[in-house]
Amino acid sequence: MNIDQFLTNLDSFGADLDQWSGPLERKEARAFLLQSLEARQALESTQKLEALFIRETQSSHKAPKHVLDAVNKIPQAHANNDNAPVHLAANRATSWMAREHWPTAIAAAIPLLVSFAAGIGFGLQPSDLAESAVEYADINSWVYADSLTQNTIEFSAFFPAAQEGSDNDAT
Amino acid sequence: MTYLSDDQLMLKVVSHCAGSFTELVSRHVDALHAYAYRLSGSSSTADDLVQETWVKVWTHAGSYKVGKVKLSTWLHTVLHNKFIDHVRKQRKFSRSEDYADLALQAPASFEPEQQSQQQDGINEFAQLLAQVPDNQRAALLLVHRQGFSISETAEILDLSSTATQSLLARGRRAIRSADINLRRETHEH
Repeated sequence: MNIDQFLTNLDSFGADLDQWSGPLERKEARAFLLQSLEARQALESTQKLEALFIRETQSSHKAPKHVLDAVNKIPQAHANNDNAPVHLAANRATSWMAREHWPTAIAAAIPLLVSFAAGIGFGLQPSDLAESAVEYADINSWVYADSLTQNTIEFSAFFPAAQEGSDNDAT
Repeated sequence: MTYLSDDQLMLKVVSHCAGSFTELVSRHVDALHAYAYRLSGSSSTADDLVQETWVKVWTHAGSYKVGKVKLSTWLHTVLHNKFIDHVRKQRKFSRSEDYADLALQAPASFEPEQQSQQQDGINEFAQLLAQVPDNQRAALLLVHRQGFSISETAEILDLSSTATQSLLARGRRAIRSADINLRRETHEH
C-alpha cells in the first residue's frame, strides 16, 4: 500500500479501519501506518474531524425566535396579498426595476434596432420574404413525403406484419 | 389530538391550512436553520434562506410529490437551491460577507465548563468548514450533520449516488487538509 491508496481509502471509508472494504486492505493499512508518519497524521486528523461532526450533531441548534415569528406569519401575509408570494416577488420586482438589469437590456436592444434599421435601408420588402417562405415550404413538404414513403417501404420489407398493421389502422 | 404525518400535513397545506403549516414549521425549522447556518456561515443569510424556503412551501406546496421523497429531503432541496441562487447573486454583484460571523454560540443547555469546550469545538468545526468548497461542504453537512443517506443527499444535490460519494470523499480530503494546515500554522505561531 502507498500513501495515495491509504488516503483514498481513508476518505472513502473513514477513520475506523474495521469499516474498510477487504481484510487484506485492513491488514496492509495497519502495516502501512507503522511506517508512514503522513498516514498517521491523516488518520489522526480524520478521527478528530469525525469526533467534531458527532459533537456538532449532538448540539441542539435552535432557529432564532424572530425567524420563527416571521415564518409563522407567512400564511397571513399571503392571505392579505391575494395569496401572492409577498416576500420574494416584492424583492424581485424592485431589484429588476431599480438595479443592474437595465444596462443589459439596453445593450441587447441596440443590435436588434441596428439590424432592423439596416434591413429597411437595404430595401427588404415583406413581399420578398413571403415568396421565399413559400419556396421553402414546398421543398420541405417534398423531402418529408419522399423520405416517409421510403422509410415505410424499407420497414415493411423487414417486417411484413407492420404493413398489415398499418392496413388495419387505415380501416 | 390525532398525530398527522408530514405528508398528511402537506396535503392540508396545499389547501392553505395555516395550522398544518405552523405544525410543519415547528417540526423542521431548527434542522433547516442549522443546515443553512453551517452551509452559509452567516446567521443573517441563514435567516433569509429559511424564510424563503417556507415561503416556497406555502406558495408551491403542490410541487411536493407525496411518497416520492421524504418531506425533510424536499425541504432541504428547496433550501439548497435557494442557497445556490444566493451564492450566484453574491458572486455577481459583490464579495460574499458570509463566514464573517463565525462567532457561533454553543447551545445554552450545556454547563459552563462543558460549554467552553463545546464552544471551542464548534468554532474549530466552523473554521474548517469555511475552508471547504460549497458543494463539498453541503455534502459533508447533509450526511454527517443532518443524517441523510447517500441517496437522499444525491437527491438534494441533484447528483447521482456515485457523484455524491465522490464529492463526499473530496470533501473529507479537503477538510482534513484544512485541519492539517491549521495545525501547522498554530505550531509555527
